[in-house]
Amino acid sequence: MSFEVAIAALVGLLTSPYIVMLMVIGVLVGIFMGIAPGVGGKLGLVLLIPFVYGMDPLAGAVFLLSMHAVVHTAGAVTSIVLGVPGEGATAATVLDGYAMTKKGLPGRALGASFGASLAGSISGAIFLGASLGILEPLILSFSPAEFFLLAILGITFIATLSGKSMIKGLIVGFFGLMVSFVGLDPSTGIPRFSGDLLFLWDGVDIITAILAFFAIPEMISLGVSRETFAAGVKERQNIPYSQVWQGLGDVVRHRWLVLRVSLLVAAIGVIPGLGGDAASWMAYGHTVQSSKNPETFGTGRVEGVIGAETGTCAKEGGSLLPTLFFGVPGSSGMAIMLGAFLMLGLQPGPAMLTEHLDVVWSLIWSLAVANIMCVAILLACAPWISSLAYVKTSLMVPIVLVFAILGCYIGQNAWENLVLIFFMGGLGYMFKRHDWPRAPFVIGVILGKIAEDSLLKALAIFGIEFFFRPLSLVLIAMIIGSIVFYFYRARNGKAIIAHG
Amino acid sequence: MVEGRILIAGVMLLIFATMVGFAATYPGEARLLPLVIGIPGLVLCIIQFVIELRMKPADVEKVFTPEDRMAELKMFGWFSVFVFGIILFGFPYAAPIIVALYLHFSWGEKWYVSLGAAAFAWAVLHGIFDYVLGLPLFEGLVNQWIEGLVNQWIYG
Repeated sequence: MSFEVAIAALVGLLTSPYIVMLMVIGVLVGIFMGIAPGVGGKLGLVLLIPFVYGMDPLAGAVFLLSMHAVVHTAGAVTSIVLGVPGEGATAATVLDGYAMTKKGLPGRALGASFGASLAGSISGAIFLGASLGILEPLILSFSPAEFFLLAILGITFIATLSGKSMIKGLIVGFFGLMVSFVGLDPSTGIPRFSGDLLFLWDGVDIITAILAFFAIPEMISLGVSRETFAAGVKERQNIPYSQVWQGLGDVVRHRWLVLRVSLLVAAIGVIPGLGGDAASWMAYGHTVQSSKNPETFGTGRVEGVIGAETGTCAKEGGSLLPTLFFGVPGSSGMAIMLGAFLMLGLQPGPAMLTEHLDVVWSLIWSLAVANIMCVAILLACAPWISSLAYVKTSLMVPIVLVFAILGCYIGQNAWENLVLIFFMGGLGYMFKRHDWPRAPFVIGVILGKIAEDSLLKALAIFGIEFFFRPLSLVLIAMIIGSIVFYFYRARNGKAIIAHG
Repeated sequence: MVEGRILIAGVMLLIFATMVGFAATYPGEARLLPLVIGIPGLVLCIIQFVIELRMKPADVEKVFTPEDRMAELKMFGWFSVFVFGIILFGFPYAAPIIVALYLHFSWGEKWYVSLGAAAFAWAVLHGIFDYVLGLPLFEGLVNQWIEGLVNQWIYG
């Protein structure tokens, strides 16, 4: 029955010229939103919602979902070619993707990224379809105690991404955590580390922090060295399609990594409130941790790109599940999507499974089909996109600087974020110059707030006994296992190093 | 002259010391995690600072020449011009002008190239962000101040 509904939904989706046209428009808008630094899927959704007023509910939902589904896929373009992440989720791709561009392999990195995005989004959609009705009891059993422990599990990846010096990595990771505490304290309401600066009461904007630690140092560095983005290559090269196909082939070669990361991240995406940014970093952390040569990550390993991009896209399927069936958004983007669904007349809840299964399958298919369209467009353009890496640095540096500064402004409409990006960007450059890893900072900023909120709630609900809940014990075992694994490998001469 | 690696370790030490100092003044739950994270962070910063102080110049992988430092200072100067120029005069006016000035004076690009890049920046800012997406661009503190003065003059 469900299989027939699934096939009928796919046929219905692909044979409706109106819906296909909306999907194409959604995909093109999503590509733009992904490439423009700081715009991202959430803002894209907000901007598109007025256009779907009065639309047929299914068409409107497919349009929005198509746009939202491809933002991360396209976001990898600037991360790989320019070293400028569009948002938190794509920042993990910078580490190895940009390093590949510097080696003169932007086409291969893009091919791997697009292939991994496609595989991730399709796996996420399959996961969502396969788990319909199965995951409800599991999702509902998650309490703040488990959220806290999941956040701690993510934070343990700081060690994995610490580079040559674990002390430096821990300092930077702890600094990220401290920065995440800036703003009003969730329990007492008093401002912490923000004084009378109202714009900091909501906390430090994550986009500002990410642009400051990744985009600004790269631009300052290029402005100082005057090299091209593809600094490791002496002369301008034409990027052949063979390089792009090689990247796609890498995805097939690393299919087990793709499968593992997809399942891990789709499952993480299901958990409401943990967020997609955390999921992509966990995917990258897992990729590094499970590699035989972790010390080479951050220097242009294609697995790094594949792991990060698979994770970024696989979580979309997972995060749609609680949004549709429980009305509980799996990520901040899905929170906006939830509002749009309600506005369109789609009432999320268990009834979606029993009464609107066709709509559910149409949405699942739209995730996969939109990504196929997006990847087809991007693959067709990949050699030209790659050649951006050889554009004169003099032209790219000021333009990217302006758009990075704009990206940190438009997120919150706060000019004060520009002052923040100035100081944090300076610090980020000093980190880059003196080999301090920058990735742990992003993990700290993203997970710190979640960890603190969840800890306070867990303590209020269960007291200290929350550590002894069955699911908590499983997660504690995973955390201990992750730390023990790190030290085991370090002891055996496989120090887990990734240059953040 | 203090080496950059010692300076950055010192800056992190100072940041953590300040944050832990502030956190200690917060009540009960508000200081719980900041202290749980901040105190080990402070200890690690002290260790790193000592490591950097004891490190011999021969152990340092990268050597920075005076020319490198001068290039960095110039780039930081331009970065501050970008940020504070935009804060004072806004994206619509400051961004294209600074792009043109940066290209001409820092990179020695010809004026037509510099002005072309500035026109591109202006077109994207206005055409896509302002016109198509309807995102209001920050107009700058000075412009807001002048606008306020003009409004006050017109409307009393």
